Amino acid sequence: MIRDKGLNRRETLAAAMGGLFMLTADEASAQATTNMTFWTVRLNTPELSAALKAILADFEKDNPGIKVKHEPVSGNLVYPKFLTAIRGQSMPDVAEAYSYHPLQFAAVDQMEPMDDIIDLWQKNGQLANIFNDYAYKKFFWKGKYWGVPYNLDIRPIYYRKDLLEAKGIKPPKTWAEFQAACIACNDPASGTFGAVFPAGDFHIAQHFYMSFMFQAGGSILDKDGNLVFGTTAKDANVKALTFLTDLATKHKVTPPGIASYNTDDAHTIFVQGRAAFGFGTGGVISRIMKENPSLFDKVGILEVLEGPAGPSGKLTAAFYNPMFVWNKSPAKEQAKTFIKWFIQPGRLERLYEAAPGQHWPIFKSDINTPRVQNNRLLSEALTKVVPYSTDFAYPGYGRPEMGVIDGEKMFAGPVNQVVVGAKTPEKAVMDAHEEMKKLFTS
Amino acid sequence: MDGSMATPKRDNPTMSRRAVIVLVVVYALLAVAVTVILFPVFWMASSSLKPQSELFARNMTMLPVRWTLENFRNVWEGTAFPTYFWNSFKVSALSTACSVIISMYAAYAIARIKFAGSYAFSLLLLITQMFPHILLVIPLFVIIQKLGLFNTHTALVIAYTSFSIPFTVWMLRGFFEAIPAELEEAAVIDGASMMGTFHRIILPLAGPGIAAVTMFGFIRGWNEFLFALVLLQNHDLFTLPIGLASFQEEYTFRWDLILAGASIITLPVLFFFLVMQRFIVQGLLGGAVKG
Amino acid sequence: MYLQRRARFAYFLILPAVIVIALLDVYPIIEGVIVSLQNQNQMRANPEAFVGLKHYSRALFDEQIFWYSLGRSLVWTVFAVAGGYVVALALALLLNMEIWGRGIFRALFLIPWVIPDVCTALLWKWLYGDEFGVINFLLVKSGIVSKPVLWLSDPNLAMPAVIFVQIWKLYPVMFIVLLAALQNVPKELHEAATIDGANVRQRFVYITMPFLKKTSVIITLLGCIWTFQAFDIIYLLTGGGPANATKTLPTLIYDKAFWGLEMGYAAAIAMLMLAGLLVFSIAYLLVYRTKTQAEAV
Repeated sequence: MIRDKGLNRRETLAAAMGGLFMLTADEASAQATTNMTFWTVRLNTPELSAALKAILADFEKDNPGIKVKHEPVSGNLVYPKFLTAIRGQSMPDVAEAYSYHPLQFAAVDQMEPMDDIIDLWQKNGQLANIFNDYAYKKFFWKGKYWGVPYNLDIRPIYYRKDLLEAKGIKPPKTWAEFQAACIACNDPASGTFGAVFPAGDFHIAQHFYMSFMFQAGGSILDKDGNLVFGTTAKDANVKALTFLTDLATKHKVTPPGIASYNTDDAHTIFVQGRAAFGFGTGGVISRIMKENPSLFDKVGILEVLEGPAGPSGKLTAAFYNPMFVWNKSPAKEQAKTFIKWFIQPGRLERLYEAAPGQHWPIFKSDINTPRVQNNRLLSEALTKVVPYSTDFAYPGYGRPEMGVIDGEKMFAGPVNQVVVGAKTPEKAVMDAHEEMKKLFTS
Repeated sequence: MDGSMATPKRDNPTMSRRAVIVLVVVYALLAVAVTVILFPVFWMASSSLKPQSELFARNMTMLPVRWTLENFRNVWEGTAFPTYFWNSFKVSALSTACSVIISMYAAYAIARIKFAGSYAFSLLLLITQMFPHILLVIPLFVIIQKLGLFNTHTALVIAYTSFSIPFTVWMLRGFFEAIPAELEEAAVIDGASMMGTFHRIILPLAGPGIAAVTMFGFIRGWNEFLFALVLLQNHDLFTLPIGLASFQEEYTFRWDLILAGASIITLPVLFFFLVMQRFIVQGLLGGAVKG
Repeated sequence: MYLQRRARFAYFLILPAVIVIALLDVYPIIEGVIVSLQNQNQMRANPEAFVGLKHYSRALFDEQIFWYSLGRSLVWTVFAVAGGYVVALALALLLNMEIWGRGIFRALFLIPWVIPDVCTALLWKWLYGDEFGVINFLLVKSGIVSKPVLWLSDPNLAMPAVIFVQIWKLYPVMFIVLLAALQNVPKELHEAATIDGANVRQRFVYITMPFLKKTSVIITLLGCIWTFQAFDIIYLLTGGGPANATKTLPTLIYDKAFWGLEMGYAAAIAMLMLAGLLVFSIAYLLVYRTKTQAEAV
């Protein structure tokens, strides 16, 4: 299950060989080399950037005329970086960033349409190989595709099998069962909370509310992309917010301080064995393997819950993250070559191995590998979470405004405000609606 | 509490009971203050030397149970920290040198010479410190780009210099004002040029003051974050604070790396300060901020 | 003749500073004013369209958030600067005594000043945690509290918690400046007052404080300016939360400009903030000036 030693050697070797090759290729065709900048917001930890380095070396070996320069951009500081880049016309040739960046940048005419890549994928069957249509349809706006998906970012609920078994509780399948289980397992005196989720006023803390929203039959947009958050979907959205925040305010089964937690704080609580249920990203799997391996066998992943909306609402928020190309880049074509090369079944295996669970492939064929089969939690996430994953613009597709909604924490806000008792769920939903409305009408 | 009240009289060989009590109270207060003030720094150092498993242990220990340099190794070898380190040093040192040189002449002028507009200039210095840096970022970026300096260390040196100047002038002015005017007048009578007087008579006397503002400028450059973030694009040019941020991702907040990284960033300035503290404190005490 | 030459010399000396300040401080401010009058919504076409005072009226009249944030900023600034001043003055008075080891203590008290801001914020986040924070660990272990104090998660505590960090960061500069001023207080005055029978409090109020007044005015003004626009510490510790409890103007500007992409609106808020600071500073300086003049008479 844990086998990073051999991997590291392989990576180093690949990097070294790639480096050697680059040197020789350089001398041979120095005049034909194109340099390309690649910004990333997710591939920046030492482990992942080492894996990426090896992949990029492979690319350069396959494409001797192109050199890729990887520049990590801190997740929290993406916007200042991109906005100044737009202002100064110094955008990266190619980047991977947040869900709605391509549409936001397309709105100010900075994005290169990716229709040709989508066409190519249509023809070569890669499109059919992607888990879900949303993956690429979310980047469709004003008649064109502005980005292509390269990874899937899931939001599973992890649970402690041992704690549930001790209480004789089966893994919950519905909201009611989930709530009861959280309450039953809550034992702060011995250091275990019922559940932990991040409720801080941070942009990254908000995605967990969305899953409950869908499960209650609510949403932000309707299928045509109109804002319905506080209108027709209001009751369901209030219900979802009430259910989530009740865990903290009414039942008090969460750590008391979640109102300042970011996603990683919640992860830490769960990885340290301090909660029966933990809301997280796929990255929890690699953190458990690395930081608390003895917990691995005691942990399971919950099948997506069924809420008031019944089976049709059995959905969970997930994010297909894009790669995109700057339309004024002198290396546009090379950037597209890079994307075509980079987003292929099997290509990013080294990333998946470097931090299991943190990066999910978008291709079905990429999960039929020993890596997934030999890792119980990855397999569970695959069968219990991935099939129900949908985008947060569901049932509509993307709009540039979604980026601002995400960025300005219009979802983190309500959760945070209700958890600290500053607003009722209804008021929090309506206030957030008013905020969003301004965005859609201004 | 009064400044000189508790001064134990040197000429009084046997201290009074009262003086002893006062002394005990004073030392007790100082000890409490030092503990409270320095504990956070101690805790950063201690945590950064703990293995990841101990960072989140339920039963915390003040010192690591198992001491390890693993976190430091991960930061230093796993990221480009050595490069960031050198970049930070270079940018901070150069910008400090520039701002101190430019400021000392300006400070001397407003401290010693009566000229129309000197009050306006002082006011300008004060006002320019008020504008929120967050909003200066984008216009400044545009200017830097027009100058063709985007993505260079020169851009940062220029930016930091400009932000340090107002405060540096303000500080140095105090030092120059404290130097007796007679010295200068004597030099002028002896026929020294105005520039010569400044260089040979005034500047050497302001040595500690220069040391103090140098420290100020250096720390400012060493710490600065936002401008480095937008003015630099190339990874090889990053400075430490943005280097520290650059291995954080969307959802990961790696305390093991952050604590070690923060310690690495703090260590040199702390060391520099402690080695030079006598000189710097003397400088700060000598001139400081006067009206 | 000589004076004229002196004056020309002075202009020559300040010229480099003026050029740098004009190019890199003043020009961006002017640019900021222009942006605040333009649409500059990065989500919309035609960002340079002139919209007049639209953003200003939106901030001042349409949305409560500006006034709310201004209130938060005032609380943050007043308490942090006052707290920093009190700590600085207390420590300066202690170290103004001729006691053994004062040099060491003086150096130790300056250490928070050299800790980089980004590190300060992250470090305190690490200290304040509810489950893994050492402050709560020590409080619970020593029985002072029964369960963790929610420093950053309780809307009523978050502001005091971040203010405490700012005090930690701010007091060293005030401390050293006040210490310098204290050392200028002539010892003879104290001795004379003691002979006249003045007690500790009287000596402090009538002798020490008047000497510190000028320095105090300047250092609190600078402290206010720095604190009012401080950003890193709050943003990294609380992100402006919980429930906007620590949403000061700089965090609001940052969110509007970089996450909301409303550069024009953000610039307008920044201009209002700058105007407030200017009015405040000028009023402060005027009061201070008339006072010193009155005393001089």
